[in-house]
Amino acid sequence: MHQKLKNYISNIDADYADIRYEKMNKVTIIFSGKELKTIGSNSTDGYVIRALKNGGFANIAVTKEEDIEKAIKIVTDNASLLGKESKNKTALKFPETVQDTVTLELNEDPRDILLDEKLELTRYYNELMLNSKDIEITNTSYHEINRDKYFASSQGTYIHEPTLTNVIVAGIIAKNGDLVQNIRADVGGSDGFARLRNRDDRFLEKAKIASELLKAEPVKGGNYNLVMDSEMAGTFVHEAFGHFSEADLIENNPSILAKMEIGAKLGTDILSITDDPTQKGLIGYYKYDDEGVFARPVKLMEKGVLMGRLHSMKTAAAFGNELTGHAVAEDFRYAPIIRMGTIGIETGNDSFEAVLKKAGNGLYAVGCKGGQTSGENFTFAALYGYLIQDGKLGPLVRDINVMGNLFASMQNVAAISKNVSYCEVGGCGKGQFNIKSCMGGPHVLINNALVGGI
Amino acid sequence: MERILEIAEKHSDSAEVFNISNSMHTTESKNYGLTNMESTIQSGYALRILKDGYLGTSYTKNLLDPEKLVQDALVSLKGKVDGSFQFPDKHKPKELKTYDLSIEELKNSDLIIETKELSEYVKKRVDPKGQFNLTTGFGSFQKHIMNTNELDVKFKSSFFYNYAGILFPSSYAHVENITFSIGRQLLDRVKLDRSIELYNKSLKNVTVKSGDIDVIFTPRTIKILLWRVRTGASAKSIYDNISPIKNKIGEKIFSDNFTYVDDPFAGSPEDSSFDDEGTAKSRFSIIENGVFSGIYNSLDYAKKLGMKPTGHGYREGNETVAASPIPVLANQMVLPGDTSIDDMIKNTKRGVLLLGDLGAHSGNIPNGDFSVGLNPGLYIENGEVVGRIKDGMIAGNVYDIMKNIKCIENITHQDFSGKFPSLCIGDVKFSV
Repeated sequence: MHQKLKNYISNIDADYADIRYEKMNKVTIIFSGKELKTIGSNSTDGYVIRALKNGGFANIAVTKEEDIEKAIKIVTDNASLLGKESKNKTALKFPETVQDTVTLELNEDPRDILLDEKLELTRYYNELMLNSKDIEITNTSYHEINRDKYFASSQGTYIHEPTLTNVIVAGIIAKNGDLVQNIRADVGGSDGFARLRNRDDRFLEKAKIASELLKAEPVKGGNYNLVMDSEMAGTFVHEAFGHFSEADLIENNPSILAKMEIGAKLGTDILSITDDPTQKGLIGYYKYDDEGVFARPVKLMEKGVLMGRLHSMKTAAAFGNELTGHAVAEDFRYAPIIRMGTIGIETGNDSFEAVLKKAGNGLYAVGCKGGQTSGENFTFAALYGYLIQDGKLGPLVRDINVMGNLFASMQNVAAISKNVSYCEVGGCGKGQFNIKSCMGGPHVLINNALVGGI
Repeated sequence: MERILEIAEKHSDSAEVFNISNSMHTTESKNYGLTNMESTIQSGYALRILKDGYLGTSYTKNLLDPEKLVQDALVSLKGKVDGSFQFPDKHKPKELKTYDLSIEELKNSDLIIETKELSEYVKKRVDPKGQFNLTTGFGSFQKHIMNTNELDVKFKSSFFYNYAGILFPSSYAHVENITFSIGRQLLDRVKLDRSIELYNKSLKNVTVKSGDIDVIFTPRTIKILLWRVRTGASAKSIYDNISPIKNKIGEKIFSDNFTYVDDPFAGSPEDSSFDDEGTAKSRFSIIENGVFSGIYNSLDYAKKLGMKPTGHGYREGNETVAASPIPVLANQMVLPGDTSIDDMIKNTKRGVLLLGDLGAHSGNIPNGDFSVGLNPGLYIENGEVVGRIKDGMIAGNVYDIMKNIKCIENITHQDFSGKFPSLCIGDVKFSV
């Protein structure tokens, strides 16, 4: 493969070029209720070519090898055109040239496990939930994604890095009369199949909560002292803050860039944030990004002060910063864009009970049903929550959607707990879907957060 | 494709091959300057086989080995997925004009002058705190479906789009303009001028008290509501017994003035006279004058519910060939009403013009609930847009609030998922 990619690179008339070939195998098993809807193992492949020419940087994704010649012409023409017509010429910061083959470290390689065994494990968890009280339907699926990536650049870098993730995710719907309540449960990671075994409690607990939500009151809209669990805190730091740390999202937005000046005091003294794709065992782990850059941890905030950003080769040059190794593509259909690896809020000094006590009267939000960001504004929904009354957990409530302003929220972070955990199933939909986007943190108290009820 | 079918037929009772290929080129301009050009040339194949009432599936992007595609489907068949439905018989689909050859001859360089002119035009008219982003894309796609019942249907479509946004400071909230057409269509300057005017009027942040309020859902944000409605009307939700309107066919569930259809002949690049399973399509009514009139299905769910296939089996997802057909509305349209957008605003004493949202995808969608951030929501006071609401949310349940549709805009606007007017609903819960 190395020689083949080198040959393609040598045909590209550009100041810099790289090519990524990926062979991807996906194993998918999907249940809808008791019914198995999909089962199979399928392979796909394709190429992404990028070229820098005369200050323009363009890319093309192509499936068939026979289209590569045409693709090279399109991408070099586009790069040249961009260079000629753009006000700001593109430069790249290049990593050290490297030749490396990365091997997977797995506790039970899922590729060695029969499809039947994967089916039976998925069916087992599915039936545990279906047999729980009030559960009307589940949508339970097993997804195993094996990306075998080969990267070569005109600078002489050649990397072969496979990544492999396997997850079991379930949408659980409870019903009573016309009222339905939905919740999610998931297990998974990038460190092997063993992680998926013996996880009954996780699925049973969520099925029980789905049932209890049928009797829970919707939360009343208003402002709350909000305690977020690890998953919500992870979503908060990912959605509200993390996307602002991605240099490609702010480089062409002067008003946001001005607010995100390095050295600015944006949060309270107890708030520190790091993105670290090098944490083995977490779903966000990788060694090299999809530009062939060695990934490293980046301290984004220290005691409330903005310290760093996540970069691609393009933005590292534009900002005059060091490379961080955060340019990642969903797969061979896309050029890489800047993505968080594993982002988390660092631990504080309080116990969970002390955080609740500091909240006084408020809301404890648990789990995440999705989030979205738009500049300094963000929103995310919790799976469920509990009212906090006099510093203690009160009744279960549902339909929690939090909306906020990043800068105001970070100044309202009032307590952080000692415990920390990270998500097992990743996901971020910035342009492409990144299944390895990992997030987490401790319990975090934000005072005066806006919650919209139904 | 013939070769795949030939091999598959030897191992099955019936088989279907689906092929898609597309090419697309996009040019991006951000903050008045060119920033990126991307292209993609993709293809893919999916195979479904039926044997003894079971379904086997497989797919690939780059068809290197037809035998392997069939073998993968045979492995899948062993899982015993229900496949009691039948593939459609041979038919001649209605021919549609969905292809403009001139799109194939376009180059990114053809778009540069227009992109630059538009950027300059907006820059002169928009407050300097704002910025203008524009993405222009064009390309074509082909779909071809064959099955062992001698069905052989294909179509080719071209598309051209502009997505223009004038962004508010410190935000990605924006006032947008979209074109989406079969041939090249420039941004309408009259509509752009209107967006600029609206933007300049709403630069000021305003504080508004919480409480019930009128909301004008624009063609972009009406989709918050439609997402919930179409989830309830899907044969999958009906079969799964999670639809709140399961037993309400023929009942009036929304205001009289609301009609929601799937129209595959509306003149959009998404027009097609058959779905991703080859089933013939026609105009289909989901809500007719407020009455729940149609459950849309795929072959699988039609069989499960004892219905006739409606032609809504689509491979939904960002990798078409990898997805199994499920009920999807690919050609949505809300029929226009009788009120101009100007009159809607003029007639609103206290309301929100909701240009964008945050969080439409979250919350309890099957139940019809929504709770979204305004992104942006412009405040209307005594018939005038007076500013932009900072950090507000609206919430409700579609089966409650859509009984109170005050009026619907008298024209529809084409965007990527269909044609929609604006729609005004009274007394929506609003929090700040």
